[in-house]
Amino acid sequence: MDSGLVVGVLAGLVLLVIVLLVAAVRGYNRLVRLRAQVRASWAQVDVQLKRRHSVIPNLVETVRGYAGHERATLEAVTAARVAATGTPGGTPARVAAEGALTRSLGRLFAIAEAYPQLRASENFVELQRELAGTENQLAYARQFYNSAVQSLNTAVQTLPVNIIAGLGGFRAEPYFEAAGDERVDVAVRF
Amino acid sequence: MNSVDLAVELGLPAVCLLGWAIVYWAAWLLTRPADVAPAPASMTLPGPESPAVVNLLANRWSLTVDAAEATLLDLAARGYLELRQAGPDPRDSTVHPTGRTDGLTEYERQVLDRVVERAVGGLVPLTALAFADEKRAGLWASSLRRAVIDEARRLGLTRRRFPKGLVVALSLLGALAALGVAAGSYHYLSRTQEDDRWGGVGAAFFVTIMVLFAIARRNMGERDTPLGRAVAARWLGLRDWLAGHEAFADLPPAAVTVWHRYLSYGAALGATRGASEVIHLGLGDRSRIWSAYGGTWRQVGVSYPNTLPRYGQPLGWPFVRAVGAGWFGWALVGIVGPAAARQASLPVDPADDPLHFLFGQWFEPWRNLAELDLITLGILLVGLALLGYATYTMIRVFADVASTVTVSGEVIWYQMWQYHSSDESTDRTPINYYLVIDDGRSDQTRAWILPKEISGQCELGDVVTAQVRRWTRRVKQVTVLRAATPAPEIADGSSGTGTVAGGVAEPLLTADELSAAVGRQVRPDRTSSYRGDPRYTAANFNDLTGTFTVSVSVIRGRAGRVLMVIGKGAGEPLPTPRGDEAYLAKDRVVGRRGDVVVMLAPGRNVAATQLAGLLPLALDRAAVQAAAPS
Repeated sequence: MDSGLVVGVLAGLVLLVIVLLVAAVRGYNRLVRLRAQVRASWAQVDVQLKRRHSVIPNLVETVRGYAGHERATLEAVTAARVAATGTPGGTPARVAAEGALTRSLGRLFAIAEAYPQLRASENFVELQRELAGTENQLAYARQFYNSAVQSLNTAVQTLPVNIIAGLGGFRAEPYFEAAGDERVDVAVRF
Repeated sequence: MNSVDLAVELGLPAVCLLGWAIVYWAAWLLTRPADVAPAPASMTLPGPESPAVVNLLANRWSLTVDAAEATLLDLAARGYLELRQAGPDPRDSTVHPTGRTDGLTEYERQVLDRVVERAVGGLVPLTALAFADEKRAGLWASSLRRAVIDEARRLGLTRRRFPKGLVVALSLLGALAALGVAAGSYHYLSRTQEDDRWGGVGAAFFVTIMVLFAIARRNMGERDTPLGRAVAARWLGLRDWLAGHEAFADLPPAAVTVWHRYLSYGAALGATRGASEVIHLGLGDRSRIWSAYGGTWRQVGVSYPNTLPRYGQPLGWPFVRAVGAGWFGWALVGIVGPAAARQASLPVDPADDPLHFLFGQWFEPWRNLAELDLITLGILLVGLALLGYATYTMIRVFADVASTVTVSGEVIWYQMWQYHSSDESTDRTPINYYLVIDDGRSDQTRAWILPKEISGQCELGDVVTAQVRRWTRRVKQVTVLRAATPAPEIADGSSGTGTVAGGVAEPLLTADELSAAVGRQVRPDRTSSYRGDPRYTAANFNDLTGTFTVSVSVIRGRAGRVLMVIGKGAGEPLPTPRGDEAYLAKDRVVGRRGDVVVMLAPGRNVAATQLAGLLPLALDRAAVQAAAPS
């Protein structure tokens, strides 16, 4: 065989290996960046969740002062909060626990509607406002988290990055979906 | 010339100018906007600054085109506008004013006004917000920039890069440098001339000082402040946060419904590629122009004739070219070709030529075509081509003369095309304009060429009927059927220099009132109105052929009293039921109400008596305006 041809084929193979290596490194680095972004986004969600958790005991105590016999609802909120705080962050179980807490809070506010004195309470109004602000921030944090998860999951499932993802231990992350009650008020405009 | 002469005449001016340049360069270097290190990336909106101000801070104290886009998105996020996307392509988005106008800053109001101005039937396509008028686009952008910088300065976030003190210092140093140049000139002129040396010295001093003053006073933009740096760092933290989300960059403008102000701040920080690609508030793309002529928005594709010489020319020129080409072609085919052919071939006996009785001597050489060399054949082919060109051009010229086409529709693009320019001046003298008329029937059209002689007869947005020549694309005549709705005035920021773009005394008398008085349609001339001095404002009105028709002036103070004296001397008194005095002269109608004087001056083909009836109305309005708090 012509030695020139052999050298040419070898050079081509070396070039191909280099190109593949560069692509693999770039893909790996991108996955690392995306995963870091998911974690950072979850941290933002977690901050808002913790703010929410810290408001809830005061809220429960305030409601108890005016509607103490709504024991079942108050205990449900407390239990949901304990369950949420006791579940590791960024997992489907945590997402479900936070959804349950959101639903129980919805029921608590529905009860408050029946107690005019409670609704007039300055403390309750302030806590309600604080919780609304937290929920608002939480909504944005959730959007950012889901956006980051979408980018990571798309990368993890797309060729050829999925090969590097498999070798590097990257996996798809769960979305933080809105609780069932939050989905009903979506208005579509044409 | 000895070394002392050389040092004084060249060295001294050079050292002075170089010294000034070094000081200027040092000032430029020391006042550069600082690089700001971003705060840790965070999703929290770090302050109450508007997206436009954030754009200024995040781009090293330089406003980018993203400021206007971000403001538009912010208006949508805050409920002043709605953005709706009809299909998968973000370019299919439309903007809908909601009617809210409260609590807006000057530049936010400017962006909202642009949307309202363009909206037809309560909506405007997002990509139709761009301008079709280059000058207006520039004025709009500079007005927005000035308003944003004013607010940023008010908040203490920015400051003038060259403060007034520095400008004064540079000017004084410039004067010293000019003295050095003048001294060198004096020495040179003393050595070479007996008399008249002070003129040259004065000229050298004056020119130098003017140039250096101009450089020193040049607007150098903005620079940071300590507070501005702190605020910028926080917003850069948000930018880093947004930039980390790959999907955020691709969000369409309509995503503002979900992302609210994050999208507008993202646009201001350059983190929203998808939205920024769609929104454009500068000069529009002239090859894809939005038009609402006919009642619904649609995009009209436009091609522009520019390569062939016939475009825009009067038919005389193609005719002359055709005659020239025909003559030259005939010379090649009928004279040069046969002569060469005769040399290349033997004479033919007429007895052997059955066609001799038809073409005689001329045809004879062509019997030997096969024996011609390539050069001769080439000459003949060129001649034939020229004859063909001449024939074709003649046919098109006569066809164009015979069939002038009439086009009716809205002017959707109006732009200078060909112009003269000279080395002495940067001014461009127009020759021809592009005029795009949308007839409402086709989504594809071709621009016409409007000669400068009739260029003042229509403007952007007018509904016109035009007589055109199809082949040369030249407009012969244009008549305005319905004038464009006046666009909101944009101050050009040069009130200190006394020039402004139109509409100044317009509220005093409307175009309709003046049209009724003079018996023909008039409209404000936005290029010649004046509002520099608060004591004197004037607005000129032209008819639809661009001819000056009437001028409305409001004058206060001593100048007004002088004008009244002139009017009294030149004219007859008019009855003044409420005004203090009024006079009708041949070239003016002038009246006074208190300290306010109004003068109506007739233009071509208008008599002052036609305007006299409007004076009481104008005086009433002027008095009300004068009494209103400024």
